[in-house]
Amino acid sequence: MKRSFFPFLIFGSLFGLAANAEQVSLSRTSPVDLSVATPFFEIKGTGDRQNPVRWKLDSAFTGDTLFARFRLRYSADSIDTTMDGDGEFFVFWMDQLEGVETSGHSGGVPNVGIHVDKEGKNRFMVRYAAQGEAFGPDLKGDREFTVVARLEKSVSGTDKPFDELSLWVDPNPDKPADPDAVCKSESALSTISWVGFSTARKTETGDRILVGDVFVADQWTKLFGGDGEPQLSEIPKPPAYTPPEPPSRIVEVDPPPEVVPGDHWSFQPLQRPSVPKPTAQHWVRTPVDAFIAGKQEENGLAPSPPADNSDLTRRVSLVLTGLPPEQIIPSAEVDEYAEQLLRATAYGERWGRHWLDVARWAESNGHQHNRNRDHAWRYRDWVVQSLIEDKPFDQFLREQIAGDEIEPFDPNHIVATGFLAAARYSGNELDKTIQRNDILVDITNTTAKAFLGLTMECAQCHDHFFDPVTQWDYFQFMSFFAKGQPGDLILLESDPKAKKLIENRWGLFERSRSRLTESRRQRGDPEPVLVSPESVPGGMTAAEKRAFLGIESGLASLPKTWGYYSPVTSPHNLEFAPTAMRWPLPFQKESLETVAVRFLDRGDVYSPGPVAEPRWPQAFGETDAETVSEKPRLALADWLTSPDHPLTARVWVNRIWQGHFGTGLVATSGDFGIAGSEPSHPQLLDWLASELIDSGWSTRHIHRLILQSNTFRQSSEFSAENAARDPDNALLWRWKPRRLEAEAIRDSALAVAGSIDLQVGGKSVPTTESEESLRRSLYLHQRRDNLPHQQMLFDSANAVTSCSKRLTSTVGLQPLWMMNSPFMQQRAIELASRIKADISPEDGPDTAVRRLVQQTLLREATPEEISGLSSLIRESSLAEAATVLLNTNEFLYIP
Amino acid sequence: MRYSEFDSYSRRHFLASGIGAGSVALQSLLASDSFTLPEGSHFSPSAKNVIFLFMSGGPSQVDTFDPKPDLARLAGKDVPDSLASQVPKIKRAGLKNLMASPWKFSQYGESGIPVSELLPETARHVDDLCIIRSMQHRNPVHGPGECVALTGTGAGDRPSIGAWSLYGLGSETENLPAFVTMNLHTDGMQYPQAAGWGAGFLPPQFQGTVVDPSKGIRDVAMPAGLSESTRRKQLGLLESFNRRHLDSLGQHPELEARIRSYEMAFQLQTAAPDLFDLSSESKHTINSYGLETSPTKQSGRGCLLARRMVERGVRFVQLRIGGWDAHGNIKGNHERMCSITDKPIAALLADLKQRGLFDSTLVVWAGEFGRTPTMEGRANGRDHSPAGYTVWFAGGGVKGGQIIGQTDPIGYVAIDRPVSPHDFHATILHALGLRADKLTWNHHGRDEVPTVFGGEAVTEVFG
Repeated sequence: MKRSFFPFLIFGSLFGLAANAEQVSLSRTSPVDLSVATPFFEIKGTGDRQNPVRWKLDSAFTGDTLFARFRLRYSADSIDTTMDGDGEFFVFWMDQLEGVETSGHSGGVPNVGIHVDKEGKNRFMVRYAAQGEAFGPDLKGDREFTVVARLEKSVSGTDKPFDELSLWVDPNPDKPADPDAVCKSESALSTISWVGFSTARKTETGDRILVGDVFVADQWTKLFGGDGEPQLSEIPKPPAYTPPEPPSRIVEVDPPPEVVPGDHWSFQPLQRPSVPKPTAQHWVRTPVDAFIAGKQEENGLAPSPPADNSDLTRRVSLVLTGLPPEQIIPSAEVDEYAEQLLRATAYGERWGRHWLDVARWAESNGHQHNRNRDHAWRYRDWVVQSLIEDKPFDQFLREQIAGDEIEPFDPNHIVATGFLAAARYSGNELDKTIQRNDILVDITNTTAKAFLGLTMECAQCHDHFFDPVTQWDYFQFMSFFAKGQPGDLILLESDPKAKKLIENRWGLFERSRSRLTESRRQRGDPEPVLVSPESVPGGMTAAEKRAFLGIESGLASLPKTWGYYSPVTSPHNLEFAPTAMRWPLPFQKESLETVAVRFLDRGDVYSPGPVAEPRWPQAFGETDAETVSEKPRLALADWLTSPDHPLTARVWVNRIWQGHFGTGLVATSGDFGIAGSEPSHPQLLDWLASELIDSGWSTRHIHRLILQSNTFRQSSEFSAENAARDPDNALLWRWKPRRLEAEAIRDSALAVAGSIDLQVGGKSVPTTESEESLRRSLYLHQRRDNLPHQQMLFDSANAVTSCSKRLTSTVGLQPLWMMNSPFMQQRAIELASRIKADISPEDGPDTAVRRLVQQTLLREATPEEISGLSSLIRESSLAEAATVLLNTNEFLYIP
Repeated sequence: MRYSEFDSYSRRHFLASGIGAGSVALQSLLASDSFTLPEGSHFSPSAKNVIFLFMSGGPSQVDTFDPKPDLARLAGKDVPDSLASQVPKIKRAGLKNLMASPWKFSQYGESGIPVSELLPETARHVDDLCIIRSMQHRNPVHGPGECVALTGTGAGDRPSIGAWSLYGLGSETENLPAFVTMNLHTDGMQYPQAAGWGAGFLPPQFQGTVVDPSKGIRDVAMPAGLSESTRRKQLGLLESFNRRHLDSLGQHPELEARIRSYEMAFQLQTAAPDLFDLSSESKHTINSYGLETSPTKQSGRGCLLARRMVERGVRFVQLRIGGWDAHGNIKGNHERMCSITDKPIAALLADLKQRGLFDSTLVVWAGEFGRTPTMEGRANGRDHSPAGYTVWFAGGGVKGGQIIGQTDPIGYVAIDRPVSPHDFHATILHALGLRADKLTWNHHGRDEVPTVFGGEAVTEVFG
């Protein structure tokens, strides 16, 4: 007979289960010497999965009905609930397999025990799997309970499943009433060979559970009519009792303090200002100019004359598309030109990149394993498309933070949740509390910064030093996102085929994985036994593998996106596609239902306080608790986009302004709080915000107001007089040239070389092909910690935190790339061939230089350029002359 | 006076920093810029360069510098209750099955500090090492742990210690990036965390430049067939075009800086190949670093380059040597990792001394955490453990031959003089004459300091 491995070394024939199931008579069992003072023995929690007590039946039981009974006493100071901890988990299991020290018994294995329910109460329960628990009465501490379970086959037969599990707590032995709980499972096992007790993570180190009098029988009557004395033989005593550590207690926290918004400008209601009437009425082309001229006049500044056509054409094209224009546009046609560009894909690509900075978007998980997100590109394309079609900003916002909650179902809305899902995700994190918290922190910080322009992250550990945002506000804001999680989502709603594929896939996968896990355990691998997901198919039988590969190819053909989805708050049934992460967050709806955000002292997950419900920051008034409960993120979106919200519209028009002029009216475009900059033109900011809302949140409308203004069209001419009054050009008395961003530098070089590949959207160019790719930089794979070299060199966003404004560095490594890199060398050669193809062979270097300057800088060459570059061409080549022009500040700065 | 990222470039750009006076213009071009540092942030430094030997994966303290004879006695037993109760509740902090170190320790030098037989070469320099045995933090996962070790927090969104150092001191070289990072042995799943050399919220010029020791600095080589005189001519034309462009715009310091950056790049083109050309090194030097023997080839080159960089004024050199993650087999893993690193690191220390660079160069050896004194599962490895681990300092004003702090009798938890990663960073800055609580950068209206949760220099390190 096989012996158990219980560390207390329990030996002896514990069950005398006869082979004939019909006539079974069970001997009384007792794992400890009942003659000692306590009739119970103690199981101590470990804060992890453990399988400390196991007995083998003398022979496998395959009959139709099996009863089990045990007594239980849970020490009161061991019990926590979700109000002050994470609740308890403890079970008696009946399995075909023994398992080892740290295995659980689930997946079709009947479990009878204690678990915390959705309301946070610890109750008796029965289950076959985490889904489908049935609960009975509440658990009470320091009180003895008698627990009885009945396992039944609805269809009789040795190979038929024990598909019904019933529970009685403290039943009347003579006259059992209806069970306290019943659950069913078709996939239950059909043979019981082992029984035992297990605890898991929820049962902390030091938790004490006393159990005893374990019986198994084939009839109720036998359960209580035990045959008297236990078989005591050579059963050692359990080890000496050591007092438990005090369970981790909940941090006491003051309730949310009263918060008043104060008189900071950005928290004041938006009021549409009237357009001022400056003296220089002739200069006013759009109302924007009236505000700008008004301020200039107040400060004794004069605007600069209009830029020439070449500069203006390049400016409009570079600002809107990040690509240089092919030809000069006459000034009378610039409005129309801008209008065309605002509808061009290239515009969406450039401004989409601006937004992706804010969204800290990338195509890998980050952290240690940094797995690629093969479907994250859909969100990038969604952003581009939304801008091209001028999707109203309120809708743009709503889809991103609540796409899965919007009805009716639209796959594009799911794609939009890529904004939330762009958070980093450590797939190698065993501590699920930390793993989830890290993601929610990322989402909270990014959402607050992107739409509210608030540096909410400061309030994670303490009340905000400057802004009326408390630490309570932080966790309440975080709570809006708590019921969802990121993953590869299949873009089909309630699709039975997808559902079936995924179920079957996980079924095959788990079967093979548990086999591999078990064999590694036998080999002595450390716990938790790691079987990398990639290696699992290797452990399948040929038939399983065939089926598995079939399913995988079926799944591969389904459209997916890296998105954010809550099976709890979304009205749609979506499926998470399988992941290759080692230790992902659990996918089950049930596990998300119980997730609650808690106030965390100093932001530390090990110092939890009370639960934080979804609420917007108090300074903005009361949250309607009822509205937010059902679809919390949709409620958040509605609140953010309500016309009287003081921040959303201001923050967005300011971002648009920054996209044109390089600096926003509020220079700190990600911080509208008290520590942020004051607006240079508060009236203009509010007027634009009002225009945005009144135009139906049209971004294009705001672009037009700016693009058509004389403010935008000024030259960059220097004026010592103006500079003396306003050295930083804060009042916009001229256009201030600024360097193109990394992407636009690379794209511009490709464009003038004539080799740019303007293919739109789709999967990104793999990292290994980035250096040679001719596609726009937007489409190069954005792998965290390994962004394209040129992008990092020219100050791209880091794709870790939300980036509202890029900084510009000037380092000696940049010219090395510009002059020596194979990429730029190749562009110079292509540009030279393009010029050569354009001129006749008889033309001398002078003509080539003229053409070259025209192509790169969109103007006539100067005599100095002609003589200098011609001489260079004679000495070396046209390509080397092209290199010089591609390196000029004039080429690299928006004129 | 305080400067923030939103101050205009022009204002901060031309302020003399008091470091490398006369080379203000220069500083803006490479990885540094001239900023006025907050008052009181500077004092007299004991080092002007740093070589940070980052042992990624987590070397085991009880098998290297923190001998625990009790482990042999307790081998196979569980962590005694009295000690177990002190072990912080961190995932993976196994309390079962203590495992003795497979290696002997012997005392070395005048100080008699014990070092494992794994590190015979480093042991010869033990009188120069200040060993801290009581490092402690709470993050047991590689990625965030690496961020903790190099930036102070696990999120990876704050500036690296190298970036802070550079911000504090500025650059002293005209020809090379002032902060260089080399990542060696990066195979396996512990990808280098870019935050470890990132600038965080500091301006991007403070970020480290990643250099492949076998390839040198990217794009340094001129295109084949291009003569130096042609390149000179190109640069001349470029400068005159850019000057004319700038003249039409009045003032634009950034454009000014870009014009100069081309001269700088040209110098880099000359200096960088020289840096990587080891032909001038003696046979003895090459051999001492183990450049021609297989296990030490890569790390030997990295260490030798670190010395050459310091010699040329690179302010902060970070050498990340991966592979210390000994889960399955401590014996095999640490024997391999020590054979890779021991000789080159010892050679680096000796070489710095011989060249008179030792006193001005702070050498730091540290992983992101240590390892458990218990066996992991039933494998013969050790798991991650940040509760008490060892780092060492040398050179740059460090008082060698001393041990600071101690762990419990089994080497699990720091029990005396615990040192946090913030204290550790403050100590590095201290050597550079920078006060971690005064070196500020205004970000979101808050004066950020390198040591976000407090952190004080372990001044005993410097005697």
